[in-house]
Amino acid sequence: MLHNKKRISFVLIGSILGAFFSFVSLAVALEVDQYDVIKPFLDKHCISCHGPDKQKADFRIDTLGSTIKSSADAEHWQEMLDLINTGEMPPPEEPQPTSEELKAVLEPLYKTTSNARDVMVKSGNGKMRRMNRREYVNTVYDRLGVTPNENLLPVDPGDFGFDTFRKELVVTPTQLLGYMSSAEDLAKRLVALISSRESKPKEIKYIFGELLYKKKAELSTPRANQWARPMFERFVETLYKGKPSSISLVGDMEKLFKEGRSRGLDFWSATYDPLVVALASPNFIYIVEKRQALDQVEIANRMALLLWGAASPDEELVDLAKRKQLLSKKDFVEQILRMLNDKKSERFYESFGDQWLELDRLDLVVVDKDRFPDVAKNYDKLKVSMRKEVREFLKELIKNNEPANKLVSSDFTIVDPLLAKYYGVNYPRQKRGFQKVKLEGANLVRGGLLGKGAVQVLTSTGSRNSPVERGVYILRKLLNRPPPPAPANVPEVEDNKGENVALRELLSHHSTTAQCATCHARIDPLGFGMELFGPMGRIQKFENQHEVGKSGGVRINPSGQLPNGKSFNSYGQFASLLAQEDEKIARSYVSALMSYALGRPIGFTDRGQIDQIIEESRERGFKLAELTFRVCASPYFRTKN
Amino acid sequence: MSRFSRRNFIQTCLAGGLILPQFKSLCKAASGSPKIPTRMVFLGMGFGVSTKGWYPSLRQAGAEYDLPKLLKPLARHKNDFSFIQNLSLLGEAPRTAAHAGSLYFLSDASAMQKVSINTALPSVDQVAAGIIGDETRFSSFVLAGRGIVGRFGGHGGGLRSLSWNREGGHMSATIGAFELYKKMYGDKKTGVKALQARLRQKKSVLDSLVRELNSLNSKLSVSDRVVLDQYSTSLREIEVQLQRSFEWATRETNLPHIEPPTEKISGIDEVKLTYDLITLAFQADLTRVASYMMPTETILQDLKVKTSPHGMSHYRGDISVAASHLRDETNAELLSYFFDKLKATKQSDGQSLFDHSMIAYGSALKSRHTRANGPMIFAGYGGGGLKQGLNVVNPSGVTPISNLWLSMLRQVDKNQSKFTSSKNTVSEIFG
Repeated sequence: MLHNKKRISFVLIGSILGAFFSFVSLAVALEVDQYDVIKPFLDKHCISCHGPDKQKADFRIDTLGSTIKSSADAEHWQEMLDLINTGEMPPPEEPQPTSEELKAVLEPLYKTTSNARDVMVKSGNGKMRRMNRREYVNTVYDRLGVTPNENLLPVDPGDFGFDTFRKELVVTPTQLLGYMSSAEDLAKRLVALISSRESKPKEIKYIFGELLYKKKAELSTPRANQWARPMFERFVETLYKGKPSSISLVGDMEKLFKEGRSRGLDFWSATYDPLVVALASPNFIYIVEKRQALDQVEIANRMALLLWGAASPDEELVDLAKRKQLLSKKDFVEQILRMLNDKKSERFYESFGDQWLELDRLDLVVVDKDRFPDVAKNYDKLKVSMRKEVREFLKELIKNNEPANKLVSSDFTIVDPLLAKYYGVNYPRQKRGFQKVKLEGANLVRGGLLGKGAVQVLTSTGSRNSPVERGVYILRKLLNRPPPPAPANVPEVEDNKGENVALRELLSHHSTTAQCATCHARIDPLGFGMELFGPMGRIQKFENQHEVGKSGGVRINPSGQLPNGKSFNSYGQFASLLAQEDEKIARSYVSALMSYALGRPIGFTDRGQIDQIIEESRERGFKLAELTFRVCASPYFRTKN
Repeated sequence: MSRFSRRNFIQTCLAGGLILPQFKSLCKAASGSPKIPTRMVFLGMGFGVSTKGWYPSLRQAGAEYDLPKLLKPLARHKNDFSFIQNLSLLGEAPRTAAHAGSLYFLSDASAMQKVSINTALPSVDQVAAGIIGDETRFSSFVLAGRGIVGRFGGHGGGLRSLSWNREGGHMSATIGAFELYKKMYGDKKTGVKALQARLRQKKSVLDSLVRELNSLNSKLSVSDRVVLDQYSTSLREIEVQLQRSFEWATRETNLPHIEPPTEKISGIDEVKLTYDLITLAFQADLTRVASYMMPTETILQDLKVKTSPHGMSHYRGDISVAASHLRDETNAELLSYFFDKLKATKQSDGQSLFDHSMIAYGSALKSRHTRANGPMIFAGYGGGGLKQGLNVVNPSGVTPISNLWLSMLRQVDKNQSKFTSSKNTVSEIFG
């Protein structure tokens, strides 16, 4: 399909790829379909800018050849297909292919990219990973009723996508030592708990049984040693529900116990080492998926990890899985919905929400104390509330199966008294904590993610708005079109010392310098669409309106245009236009969720799956619980990949 | 410098059994007269430095150059260190790593092959530890300051330290001066017998974990077994460390008593203490190699600077420029302090620890986003044969930083002829 509107060419390189996509070689090289038809087209329309003389946007086509040997090759062809298909390439100012020419190449290109995907998926690259710290702590708590000390576990490397990414979840000596120390600490605390008068979680009561009431004297007799094994059996049964345990584990635990006793340790101290083995065993800390196609218990584990943040599927799930009934459509839907409404799903909304929407950046904003002294004083409290607002908002939309575009435009938000005051919205009388409030009139701008203080603050510098950060955020999170990262050695734009120069002028280099304009023409206008909100998340009429001692100055200019060319003059219009991009918003959500669920960046091989999920949800308007369900129901969630 | 009791040495060697092959070198060392070992320190500062006022003029190459104004605190050491300008990492950082001042800084791994943060190539400090680290209680110190927050410290997202071990695995650091203190001084309380009993106990736990590992291994696909290998390697590594602790449990460490630091020590005080502890560790021969991923944020907090480290590194406006200058001056003061300490510590040949050490201080980031021609100060005499007091100027953008790393390795092993992307050695200093 050709678009006749004049459009600015936009490079998609790297747009689908995460920073560390796994480099897949194809077992058998794939021939490009009808290469004899495609090649002349490329020679005529592409090579002059993407060939030996010029390589615009670092993209070269003449060297691709007629065989696809790796995922990198496949990505290139997919990109070419996408750009020709949307009419972005050849650029509008160049001679355009005729419809016949287009049809002749689009078909074989589609066929080629589909074939490549099929071949690659079958090579099964999903590597085993360990539980990350968050999952480990939650799993132990769910199983034993006691929380391990997470400070004894090393922090997971968290800067590459989600904390579920497989590549980063390796076991180093420090990591293993961490598991062992954490286990030892937990064992000690369990014993202290047992000896104390505190009420004990039901799991502990079950595991230790009568031992809870035995006196010290009784436990020091040799006869007492026989009570250890049954207790270890119950411990393993409880901790390892839904996980594979080795046949020799209990025997090993008993052996260690006896060794400890013979060394003079008392009954309880002799249980530490056995418990350490159970808690630090690779059978426990790794998420084990034995074959390419997961069995139902393994799928139940994935569901629990995703929606409850722990490898702790409950009785109901494990039962269905063992009876091989988990995947019947009716049961599966029911279970997903049940899980989304269970109290443990709070962990999902928090963990996924925080990471997807990058709320940790709130910790890195240094509020300018001179410009915003009042905010600086209260920032710690404000941060907490702002974060919670986003999480509760996301929870409300997903739980209630609202359409994806409510992420951009909603008639409500969820605030506590602090935020209600900060925003100037009404808070229901005689209520406490976070409450859903209806938005009307001028307050409607607080609907949707972009109206949230958290998003506005994390995309500022602490002193001023950053339209570039905001534009990038919108492209990544809502329009599924992450721009390529900034080139490494780009010279920094000098900060203008003049106080009353408009923000747009400060960033004017972006549009006047050719190498910047290609990307920034797509980014900056979106960021300017949010100018209604200042750097501290307050509504402003003038730039930096809330700075101490300032009145008047440069009026904000909230006009701009979307990548599709539609223009707007206010935030309200901006949000409405954005909300029309419901398919893109849905894709953004699905891609992010899939990435989080599968533990890797979303890439070429996932397009087919995502397309299918989108098509199936289109009729009902891309509802969020449905999208969530479809991600879990997709074959990728049930296989190692 | 510490002297092991020779009698202790030989007795333990004869007792045999518990000694792993690499410790046999200890026995060899006992027979000859001890040569004073060379020490190495690798300091990574993360974010680059101020563009103006840190680098000496490129036109003043050689011994006659004006010390840049931000480095005035180093004036008293000017004859004993050199600038090496225009060193670059030849390998690329991943495209999202805009502020990766320490990523592959000590190895230039991405110049050699496709790597990722968890699986790369050994860093120079670990290669050095492989050469000179087996004779000491710790083969190396891998350190990081407290409060470093990934990419926002300017070191690179997800970085745990400056070091990658001999298998190319990214290493975790001892975080903070308090932890380092505990590592060095901690074991004194437990009696030897009790310590050995505890170590034997731990070994039993490890043996059980090996059985757990084997049971899982048999159930896994081939590619997952490769993953499980990491667990196995980690177990072995812990076992080796355990054996080492066992070995060293009977030895004196000769560490002078110092006031225990507070647990929360951070920022400028922490850097000072870290420098103190490294000096003491070298003196007591607890280790001969150290890498240190230095804090930025906590230093800025101590200086009561308003900008975040990231903002400072982009110095938008007067406030951040002043912050950048202040940070550079402070780091120079701290470095000068370190050199003072090393110079004040005497060795058995009458020279100082500084004379027997080599200290490299720099970053892969020049400033802001630029990852080429980064800052590098190189100090010390490495046991002899080095010239200092120079402004070494290389051609821009093409001189691999690994030239310096190779030069340092050659100082302890003349057989080293290449280190990753190295093309040459720094002959102006190393001859």
